[in-house]
Amino acid sequence: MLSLTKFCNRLMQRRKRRFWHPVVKEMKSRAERSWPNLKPVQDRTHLIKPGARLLMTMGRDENSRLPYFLEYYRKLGIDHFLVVDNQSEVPMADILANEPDVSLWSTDESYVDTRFGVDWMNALLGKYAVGHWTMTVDLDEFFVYPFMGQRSYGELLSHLDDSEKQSFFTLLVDMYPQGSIASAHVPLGESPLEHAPYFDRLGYYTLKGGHEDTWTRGGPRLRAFNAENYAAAPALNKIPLVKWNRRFAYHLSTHVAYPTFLNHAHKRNHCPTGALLHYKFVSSFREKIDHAIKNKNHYNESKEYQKYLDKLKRSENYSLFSPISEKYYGPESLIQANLMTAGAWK
Amino acid sequence: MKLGFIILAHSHPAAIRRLTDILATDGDTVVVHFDSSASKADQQAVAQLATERPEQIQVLSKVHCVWGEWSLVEAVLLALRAFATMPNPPDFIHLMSGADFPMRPISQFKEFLARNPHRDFIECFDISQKSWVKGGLSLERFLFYFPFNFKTHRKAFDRVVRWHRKLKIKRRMPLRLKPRMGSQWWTLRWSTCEKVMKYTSDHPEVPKYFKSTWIPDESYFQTIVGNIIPKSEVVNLQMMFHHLTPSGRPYVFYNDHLPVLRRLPHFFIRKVSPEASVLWENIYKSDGRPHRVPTLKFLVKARDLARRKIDQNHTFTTSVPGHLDAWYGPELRAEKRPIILLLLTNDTHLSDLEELTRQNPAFCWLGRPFAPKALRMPSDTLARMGMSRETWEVRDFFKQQFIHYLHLSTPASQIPVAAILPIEDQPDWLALNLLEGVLPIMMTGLSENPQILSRIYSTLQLSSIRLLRKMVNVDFDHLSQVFDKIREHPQAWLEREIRAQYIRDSLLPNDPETSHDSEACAVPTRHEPIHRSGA
Repeated sequence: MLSLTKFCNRLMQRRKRRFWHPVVKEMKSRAERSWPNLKPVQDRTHLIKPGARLLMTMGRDENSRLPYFLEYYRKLGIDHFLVVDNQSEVPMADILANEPDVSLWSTDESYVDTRFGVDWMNALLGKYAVGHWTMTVDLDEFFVYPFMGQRSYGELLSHLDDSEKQSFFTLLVDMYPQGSIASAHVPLGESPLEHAPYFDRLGYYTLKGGHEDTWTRGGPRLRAFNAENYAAAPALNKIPLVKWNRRFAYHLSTHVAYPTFLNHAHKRNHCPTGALLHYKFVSSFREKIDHAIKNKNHYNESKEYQKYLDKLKRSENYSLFSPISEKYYGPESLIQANLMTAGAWK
Repeated sequence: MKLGFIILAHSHPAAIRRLTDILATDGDTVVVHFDSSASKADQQAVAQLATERPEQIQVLSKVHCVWGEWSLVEAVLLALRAFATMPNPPDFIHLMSGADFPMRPISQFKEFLARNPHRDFIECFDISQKSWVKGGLSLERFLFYFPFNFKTHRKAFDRVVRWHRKLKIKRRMPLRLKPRMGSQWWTLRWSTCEKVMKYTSDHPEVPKYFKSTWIPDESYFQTIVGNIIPKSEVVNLQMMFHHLTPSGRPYVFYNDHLPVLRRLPHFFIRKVSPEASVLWENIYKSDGRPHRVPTLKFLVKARDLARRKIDQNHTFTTSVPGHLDAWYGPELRAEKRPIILLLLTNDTHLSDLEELTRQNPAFCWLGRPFAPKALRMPSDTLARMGMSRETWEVRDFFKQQFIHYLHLSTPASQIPVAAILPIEDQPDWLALNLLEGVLPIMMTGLSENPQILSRIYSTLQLSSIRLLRKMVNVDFDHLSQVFDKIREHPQAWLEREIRAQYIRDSLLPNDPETSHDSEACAVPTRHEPIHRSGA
């Protein structure tokens, strides 16, 4: 016999409203527009099992970063990679052809026109990542979380599931070498951590953002390149890890997601936060600047990159090292510097 | 002694296998209730356990268990019935979940039970005496009807509760039972379990009533045991250690908790992460640990101590970037080190003050950190804060955080000294006020103009009266003396009485105005004449 509880629950299920956020609708329609331009190079998405942990990334002429990137995230516990190759001179397929857990798309669309890749992200995530915990990072970003050595990525995800979270906040921590930026040469397949192990322990500033997000600026990119105008410094708040739902969409890169509760989920119930170690400042930096300025393919017509170039031109041995630099030994260093917290996950 | 274990599980068949391998030895029996809504592969894997060892393990998979609903009680009753059909039933029944794990060898658990053969271990609180629930409904769980599940239909659940409160609906317990509540997991004698089963079949109105209460798994067995078993035989205690997070969920334990958990005297632990292989391979072994059968009192004491320790371990810092919206109140309040603010009327004596401060190695000169449109601070201090002269915009926007950083960047052995020109500078007086150790020193001798002084006072009076009350008036010639005194007793100098006495005794011995005034450092109000010691 149907109990009263079950009967009422079924009634409610039927009349549950299907709510779509207007911003999500807009992002979805943009994603649909750019979906036909994504050409599958190797489609292994049939290998994605229910509950698999996915990673979505995209890149242009960053093939040298790929081998270590895949190694790092496979060790972390990622089951399948979704990669978008945006007009690389040497196609990514050359490197990724033999990787069994990588699905690759290529596109000729402009990075700027697709909201800096957001349309590709939303298109692929909406298609393959629904119901999966998905990480969306760049090729120079490495995810760390509290107790990383002792507790697995799966344990972090099940903690988030238990506490009914659908997203995980991380701070983008810029890493740099002790000497000059040009001196930190990372050989192919090697960890950039050994070559650029320093981060700023102070100087991160947070405000309420316009999308119920936490507007965070700081680190060496504020200190060294945007000292006069802090508001122009790049955002450091990121929501890279989301249990994807078809009603979700990224809005401004991975800084802001919609619906907006994804952006402040970490603020309630002492939720842990993580960090993305950002290895931009290594020897390939100069190359990247020239590339960005030539193609004007970054935010605000690559104006940020012009600032980098001005500083680097002034001295060949430009170094970001300062008295507030601290060496990275593990996630504990970030917790000690108050850049990351374990919250109630102790 | 023979034990029976009931395991309620809904996933992770590998974890259940690990559990049964440890539990179903030495003639003990295990009944696993595996959720009927689990995937087929998982169900087969669990059913495999029973086919391998049919004498010791029995697997039921009849009920779809939903959190907070009657199905959880139904599953336990089914498992108890399975025990009743066995030829020789166990002496004790231990109810546990698939995520629990033994912390000691089962033989020690048996030894403990053998010492307490006439006890039932079940948390059963009289909620009319003391609240057991951390937030949420307590007695109302029994009084209201709950047609909606809180987890799936939160709004409907809340609305129904509100209606009940408004309409003052109060259901009456059948047979005048007294409501009891406690944790879902227990250890009961077989005779008690039989009594509960008999009670359930004799009085069908009782299960019918509990079907429409909220979270009956935390009240059904507790209420019946509390009503039919003599109080002297019921112990308000669990054989298992568990603790709830601030948001009311059980803590999960991982590999890194192993050394901490080793010290606990409890027999079971809730919950263990299914991936924590180091933990579940080692924790139940007794290698090298001295074995003493714990007394009931000791179990309670150890549990409370461990819970308190876990709670103390929580330093929920708010200063993590991203966790905070420009409010550094807790950080500023936590700062106990003194900070000296020299209030000046103009900047002509700034270099003299800097020289004076730098002579004294116990002090750290911060310059004029709140100067308009520039950070007029020594370059080494700025570098330690990760700032430059041009980052004044950051300072103006994140005033509290800037003050926090001023403190952080000063070496621990030194006392920071900052100069402020209240006429020009606009520091966040409210934030400075939050600092426990803030000591404003008014450099009275440096101004000839009483109007400017009174303007400073009125600025302070408007923004922060507490700062004003702390203020000390000092002459430039006496500043080095004051510095020496502060260095000797930095914390004591923050006491108002000591400051007053010091100024009365040493600085102004001949002044007739202050010699009889015990509050020499007190602030003159607008109507009083402004006292200037140098004049």
